[in-house]
Amino acid sequence: MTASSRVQLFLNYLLIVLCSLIAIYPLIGVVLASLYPTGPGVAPSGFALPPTFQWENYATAWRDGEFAASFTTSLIVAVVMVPASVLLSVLGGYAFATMRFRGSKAIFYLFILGLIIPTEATIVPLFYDVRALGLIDTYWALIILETSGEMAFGIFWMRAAFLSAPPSLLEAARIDGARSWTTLWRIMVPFARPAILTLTVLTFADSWNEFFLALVFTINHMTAPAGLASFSGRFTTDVALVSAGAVIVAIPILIVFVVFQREFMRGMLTGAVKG
Amino acid sequence: MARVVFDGVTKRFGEVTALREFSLEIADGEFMVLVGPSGSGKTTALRLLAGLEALTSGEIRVGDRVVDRLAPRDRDIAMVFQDYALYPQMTVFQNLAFALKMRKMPRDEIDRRVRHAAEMLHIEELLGRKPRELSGGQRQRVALGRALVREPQAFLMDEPLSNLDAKLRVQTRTEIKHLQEQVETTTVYVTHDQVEAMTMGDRVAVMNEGVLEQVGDARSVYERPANVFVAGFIGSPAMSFATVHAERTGDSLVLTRGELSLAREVAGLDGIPAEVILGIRPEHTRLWTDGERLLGPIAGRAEYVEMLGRETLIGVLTAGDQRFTVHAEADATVKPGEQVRFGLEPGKLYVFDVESQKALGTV
Repeated sequence: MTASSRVQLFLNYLLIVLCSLIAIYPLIGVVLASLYPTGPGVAPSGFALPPTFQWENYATAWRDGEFAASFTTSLIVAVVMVPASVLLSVLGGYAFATMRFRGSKAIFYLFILGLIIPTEATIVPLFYDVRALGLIDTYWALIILETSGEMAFGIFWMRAAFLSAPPSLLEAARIDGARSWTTLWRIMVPFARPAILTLTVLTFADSWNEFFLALVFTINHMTAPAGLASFSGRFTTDVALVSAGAVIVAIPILIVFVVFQREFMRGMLTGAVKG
Repeated sequence: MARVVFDGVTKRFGEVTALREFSLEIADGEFMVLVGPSGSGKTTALRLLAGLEALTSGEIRVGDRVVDRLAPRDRDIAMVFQDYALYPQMTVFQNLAFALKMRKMPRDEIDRRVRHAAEMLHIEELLGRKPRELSGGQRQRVALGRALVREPQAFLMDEPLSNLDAKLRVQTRTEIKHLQEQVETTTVYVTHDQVEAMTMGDRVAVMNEGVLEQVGDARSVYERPANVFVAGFIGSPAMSFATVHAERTGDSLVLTRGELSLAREVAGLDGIPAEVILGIRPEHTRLWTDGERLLGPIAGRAEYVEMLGRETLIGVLTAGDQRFTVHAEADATVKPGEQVRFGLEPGKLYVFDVESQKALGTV
């Protein structure tokens, strides 16, 4: 290795470490803060270690924040919504990537609009629609709205993944006698597996982090982040307990990312080939 | 196995006509090579036959059936793709078996066919592997195997050797030809490589800009090219061309341009136009040696000298601004920039019409 390439390598690492520190700084701060003693007069600051590690803060936050209920809601919504959204995205992405039909471009751009228009802009009419359907404060309100909301990105993502497959693969399947449905499940889905897993992880994270819809459409069916907001409203002075609540809410996503880390990276790369 | 017929087939992509009134009859069991440069329409013809594109007009028949409105799966054809198009997540066995499974063939019959094809292609030990674990040559064999197990009416091959290195390409060329002779399945093979076309095809169809220029066996296409395009495309190194003035006086034909003047007694070629294109293959040119029966001498400057081991090729620019590739012995000592004199073998000069570009005869 030459001197200049060694310097470049050093600079690369330096940049990566710096970026990582910037990303991880607030996380470490929250974890440390969550272990401080509770009560007034104790103010966690930066990376300063707590005088004593108060592990029981987690149990207190779990109980007082009623996270069992909000976790259940988030889990129920995610378990129904993630597979539904991913399935519909796969079907939609496949159609846009491989089939020629009248108006396909216009319909695709309509889906892309969903990526551009913020939920906040449509929340009022949505509220009236959901109320008219009698779905206020139900799991279904969150499941249906989140599923449709995720499909804009999902279809865009899966279309790109399927477009990155060599056209000859589809043609070979057609000549071999496979119909569209078989080609999708036997050839294209295995081919796009990393992209599908990545979409699953991203959709799960979005679903788990859902805050705004839960705030507007539910009262007794709060999602975990909405539960956390309500908890922090009640314990604004106690930074340690709120921090413990924040860590609790983040743990499931962290687990999912760690488990699917390898596929997630592969998916991010393959999905980026064509747009 | 079946006869394949293209009958007046035209294919347009918007404003562009990729294939124009293409008619070709491929006999049962024949190995037909479609050859031509990029954009000649050869791949379009193959894709139309496969059903991967819909034709604009005309008719395609496989055996007694008109297939041009049938889905690819109903045409009973198998295709080998340029990039092999193997299913990446399936093993070699599954790749070979896929089409048979789609046809709901009994499992033991699938097993028999796959193993038989694997044996023919010497890939038995690869059946459990995934495509990514195979070399380029092995993938190529699997792609052939996938076509072979189908026992289809026709094989379609789209430049299947273009991803292989030069040595493997020559070897596989022979193997494909041998395999086709064994199974006697009608084969339509697309290539831009005229050496592949000449060595593999029972007949060769030369295409250019969507038009079939000539069809025939390798020898007839090489020795009796129908026009300037075929003469220039088939043969390596390519034929040299020069536009010359032609004058017929009695039995003698005099071809002139600047200092170049060739006279020869010929029969036929009556009504030859005043301007013609003269074509000569490099192997019918030689450095001038007094006393040899050659037409010439023609003088010029050596632009380049290519030593090919067995022979030497000299690119010569004449005073009349015409370029010729001249064949010389391997030990020729000509250097670029030197003046050379060369002659043309009598009876081996092709004469083409300037307007229609069609062959008028040989001189």
